[in-house]
Amino acid sequence: MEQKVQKQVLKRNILFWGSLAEKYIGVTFLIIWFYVIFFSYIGGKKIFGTEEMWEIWFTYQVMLLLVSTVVVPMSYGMVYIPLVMSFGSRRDETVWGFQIVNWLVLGEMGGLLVLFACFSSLVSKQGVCLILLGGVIGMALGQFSTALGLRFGMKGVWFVTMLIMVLIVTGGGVLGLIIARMGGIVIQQRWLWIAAGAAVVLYIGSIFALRQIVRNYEVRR
Amino acid sequence: MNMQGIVCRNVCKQYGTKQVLKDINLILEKGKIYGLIGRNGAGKTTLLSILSSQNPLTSGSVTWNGEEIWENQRALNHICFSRELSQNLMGSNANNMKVKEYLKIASYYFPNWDLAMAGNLIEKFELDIKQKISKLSKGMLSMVTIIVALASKAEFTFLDEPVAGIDIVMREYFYKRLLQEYMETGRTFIISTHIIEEASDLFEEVIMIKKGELLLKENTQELLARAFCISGLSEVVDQAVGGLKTYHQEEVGRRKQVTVLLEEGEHLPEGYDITVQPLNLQSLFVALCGMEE
Repeated sequence: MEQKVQKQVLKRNILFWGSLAEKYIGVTFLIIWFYVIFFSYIGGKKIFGTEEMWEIWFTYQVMLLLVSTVVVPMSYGMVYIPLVMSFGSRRDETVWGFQIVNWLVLGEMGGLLVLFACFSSLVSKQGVCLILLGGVIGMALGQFSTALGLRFGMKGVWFVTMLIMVLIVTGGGVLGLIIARMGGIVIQQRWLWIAAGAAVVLYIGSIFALRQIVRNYEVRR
Repeated sequence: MNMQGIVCRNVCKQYGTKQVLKDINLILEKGKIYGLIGRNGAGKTTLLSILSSQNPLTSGSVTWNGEEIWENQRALNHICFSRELSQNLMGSNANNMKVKEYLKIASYYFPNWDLAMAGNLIEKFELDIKQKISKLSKGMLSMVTIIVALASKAEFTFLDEPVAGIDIVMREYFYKRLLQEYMETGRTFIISTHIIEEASDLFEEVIMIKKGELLLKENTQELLARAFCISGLSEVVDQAVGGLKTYHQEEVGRRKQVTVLLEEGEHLPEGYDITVQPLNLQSLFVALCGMEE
């Protein structure tokens, strides 16, 4: 492709998918203020500036990160992938451009997570890494859901949504415990590498699945 | 063969065992306004979708200036398919998308987007761009389609039912504006419409599709110059049109009315007590593609 066309393609993807991420990130800043005002004054006890505050913020940020990384690809993908293709975006370009919004959201959520972790002595580096890898897995799940949704319509999305809901409901307690404990977890380095490998494989698999679906997708409206 | 423009060679589209488009061979030259007409389900939208790389074809090829269109950014930069919008845009998740956002996304993807023109059209159409797509009426959705099509400044612009739901005042404005744009820029427009007679004055060439097959593609004036309605007493009409191919016969009592489309070398019958009337495009379309008895 000519350089001029390549630059044009890069620019529009950064502009468009970046603006979507910016919109989502704007919402999370509202949530942060919610954290500041509500959780800092929890139970009538002022905990602003204490270690307890950072731990609470950290815990809720973990949940927000994991939910966001699944929900953003699911909700944005079904809407905006067909839309940009209807405006002349190539299919491969659309899939790669879509990664911009996913990574920007993970980056912002992860950045806040690291910030809160810095002020909490109970949070381990490995715990933060595991949670970030959880975010990558969340992105992969979200993209698999988008691929299913594009292929089978809302039935595909609902299937994944129900699956996630069942997992949360049945394993909710365990999940909550894991989330609460994960920040402080200490494991052997090799398990971290295995987790990283699994996250990368899942993520690449989700891109591959999405690409295959998008390549044959028929834009209808 | 002139390779300029969009060339379809043996384009077929199949869904399972159902063939939606059959061996479409077409050349869309630059600098013309084409009318694409056909009945519901004939394959018009599918064809436009394939021509703009939004739908993969089953077999055949579509090229732009000799290059395959599929996944070709250079080609796609010159094509805009402004399709009929629905309120349920891309599913329920898009229900909150506003017109402003929709047009902004369009501006990112069309390299020659004309912001001033878009703004002007929004004003003329009195469109509230802060309104959600899901809340727009059918006519307003069509206006959004028109804005995208005209403001895209794409060399080849496809419009699918652009005037659906729009009142006559706005329709007249649209036709005038389209013609103005065509005269100023020489862009190629392919307009699919059911309101044939209104738009037929715009069409330099007409493309007629019937049951997934290309029935004809011809200069509109030349086509109409060989299309006639012949009426009179049944026996006399039968004698007069003997040897000519007839379409859409109507009999009322002893009188008969048929449509003829003269081929090269054929002439209108003379010396018979019949009435010969020229046809307009809409009547010709009904005769060629109407309900089969």
